[in-house]
Amino acid sequence: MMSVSLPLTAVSTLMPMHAFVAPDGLIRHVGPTLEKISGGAGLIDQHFMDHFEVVRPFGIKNFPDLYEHFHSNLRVRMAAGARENDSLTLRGSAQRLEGQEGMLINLSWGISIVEAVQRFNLSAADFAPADPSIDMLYLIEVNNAAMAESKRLNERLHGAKLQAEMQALTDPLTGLGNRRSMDNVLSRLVLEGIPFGLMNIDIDYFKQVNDTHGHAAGDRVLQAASDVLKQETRTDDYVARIGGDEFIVAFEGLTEMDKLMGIAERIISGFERPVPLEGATASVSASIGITVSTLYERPDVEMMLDDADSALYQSKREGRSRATFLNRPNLQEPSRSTIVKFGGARAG
Amino acid sequence: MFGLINVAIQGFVEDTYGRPIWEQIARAADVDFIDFEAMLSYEDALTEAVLDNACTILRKEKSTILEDLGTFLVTNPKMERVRRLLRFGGREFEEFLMSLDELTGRVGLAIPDLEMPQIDIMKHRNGQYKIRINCDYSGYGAVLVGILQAVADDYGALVLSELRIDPCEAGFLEQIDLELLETSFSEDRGLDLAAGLTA
Repeated sequence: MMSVSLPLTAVSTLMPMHAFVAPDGLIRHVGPTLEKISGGAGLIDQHFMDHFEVVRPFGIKNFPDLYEHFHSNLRVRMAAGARENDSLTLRGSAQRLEGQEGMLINLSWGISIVEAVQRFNLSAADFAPADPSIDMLYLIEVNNAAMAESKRLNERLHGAKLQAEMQALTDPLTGLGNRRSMDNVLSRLVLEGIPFGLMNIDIDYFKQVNDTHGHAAGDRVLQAASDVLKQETRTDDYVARIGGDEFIVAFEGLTEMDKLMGIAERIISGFERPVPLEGATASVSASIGITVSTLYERPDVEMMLDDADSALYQSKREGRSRATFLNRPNLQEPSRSTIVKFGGARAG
Repeated sequence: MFGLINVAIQGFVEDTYGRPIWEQIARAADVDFIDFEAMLSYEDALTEAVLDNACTILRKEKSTILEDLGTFLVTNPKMERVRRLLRFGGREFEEFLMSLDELTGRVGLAIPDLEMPQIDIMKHRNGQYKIRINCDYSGYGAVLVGILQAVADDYGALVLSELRIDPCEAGFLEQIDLELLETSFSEDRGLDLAAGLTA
């Protein structure tokens, strides 16, 4: 078979990570990159097996094993402690020499490339000219940059989406939820089988405020009303403005009539506190309808909203400034079996 | 035109002339937003409108603006990534020059959306280099002149270059004559391979 012979300098250029190992396992020569990563201690006349653990092929425990059963595909682990504590796995192949005793082992980084470049501060000169590692590093670098840029764009788009969703679920005037967000909350409560109270609140005499003092005054009253609602509810409760002067509160886990009527009473007195306007005060009150999920065998959002609405109109009919607590579900004529309790002192 | 190119133009104008000038150019070019996105694609006409309006507002020749853009891409610290990626072309300036014909393929491998014209390089016996770009859109040559000057400086080399633009079948033939006067005129800034491996 034809054979070639090369000076060691040429071998070092072609294979900067080679090692010549004598049959006794002593390293006789290494390429410049392998020398560089050995950390200055030097590899010459050291035992190959002291520095490299053979992972593939299996079962190679000492150098004579490798020498006798050499294999074209080699995977070695740089022995722990050679540089840092954690070891790097290198790929390569081992071939027996012709005409002289010994073995030429050539190694490459494989997928350890990124770690190796960082750990050993490698430069382009540490790679063989034919080695595509530099192109791989180039791709990794561009890929990192492109991924970072894409991530940045995605985050920005995601932020814009969240903001749009937020706006779509929030009443901009009061910062309370809107009809859509209330529907989401109620659906969740029903779906998860959580008992809850539902309160429908309408501002009494709101139209007069708007007609007499203008829309800005009306907005002021709505803000004051939402402040009262925020104050009189717990953080677990959900408050939404669902129409011009109509609010809904969902009380998670709260279905007792006494407590809900107490809250309704406080809301009504809160609404009745005069709202200062420029040169005037606005005076309003509230009519309230209440239903609770425990009244229903299978609570239904639409039905409960209708019932709360019916109860609210019952309060209106009875003379406003009061709350009506429904005690039977789905009634066309709630007046026949509702408990009506007066709220504030203001007379309709 | 891929967003990266537009982002580079925007970054150059903002960094060199200030944000208000960029906003003025963007408005004049009828861009209905202010900031380009690097990973989105835009109409070629938009890029041309931006450049034309930049010429008017900055009162500069297009070739001057593009050459300055090329220099900016290599020398501005915010564009360090571009400098690094160019430096992957070779360990010495001459090796980098001789790898210019691989640049388009290299970029295409990394960012397929970023269409770049093919660059060819030849070395003449008198030591001069001829770099040719065939493209349907004139302007790459001027950017490359700025890039080459700045990269030469980065390697510590000293070069002299001249750009010629001729109409041809494919659109434009842009040709750069480059003379490498000295290879180690100043200090080489080098390339730290590890610096770019973490995002």
